[in-house]
Amino acid sequence: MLARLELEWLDAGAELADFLAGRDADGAVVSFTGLARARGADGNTVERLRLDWHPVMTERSLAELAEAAASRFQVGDVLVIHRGGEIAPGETIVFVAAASPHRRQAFLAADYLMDRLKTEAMFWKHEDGRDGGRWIEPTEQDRADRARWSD
Amino acid sequence: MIRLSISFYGEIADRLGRERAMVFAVDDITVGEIRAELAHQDEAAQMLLKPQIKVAVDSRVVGDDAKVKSGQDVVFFSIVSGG
Repeated sequence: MLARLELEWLDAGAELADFLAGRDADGAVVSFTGLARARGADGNTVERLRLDWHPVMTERSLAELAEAAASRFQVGDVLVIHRGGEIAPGETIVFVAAASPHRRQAFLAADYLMDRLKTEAMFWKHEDGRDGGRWIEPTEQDRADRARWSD
Repeated sequence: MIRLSISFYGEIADRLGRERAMVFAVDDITVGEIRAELAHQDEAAQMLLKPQIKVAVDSRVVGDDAKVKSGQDVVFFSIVSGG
């Protein structure tokens, strides 16, 4: 299990290749890649995303969510990598992967991780645009998605 | 006398800057009292009174009743959003 804050560049293809390499105990790997969009929720042009992060709490929040997924589902391995800093449209913001003996638990773990990351990963997200931009908070849908996993 | 480094993350950092060093002429203080004092000193800091602005002391999220000691690191932060 690994969780990492990445400040420079996140190559989802390379990360997936590394995650798959040498894996013979698990029969399923599910991965998710989140990309920065060029348009905001209102159709506004986003020139770049700025993800502010805290030197201790941000990476720890990623590790705690990865641990929660690993203990909740029957997965052999979990990987969470999240960008911080400035991100251009089309660049990868987040990559998660889960490996399990059979597919269902891997799908569930990846879905769970993303739902929790949206509302609990310790980032502060700003869309920079020509009008100065705006701070982004989790939507009602994000909160409803998170609530699906409440015990 | 309590000396603290107070930093701000998210939307509140636009208004208040990233970090400020503050000295409080008291022997003990709580997170809630720091919140109130900041808002009292600086009109831009009124937004710290909103309940969605959370606080961490030495990188642990705490409530307004938490006591803060001199030298500790206090972080006020807006609603988080990842993914």
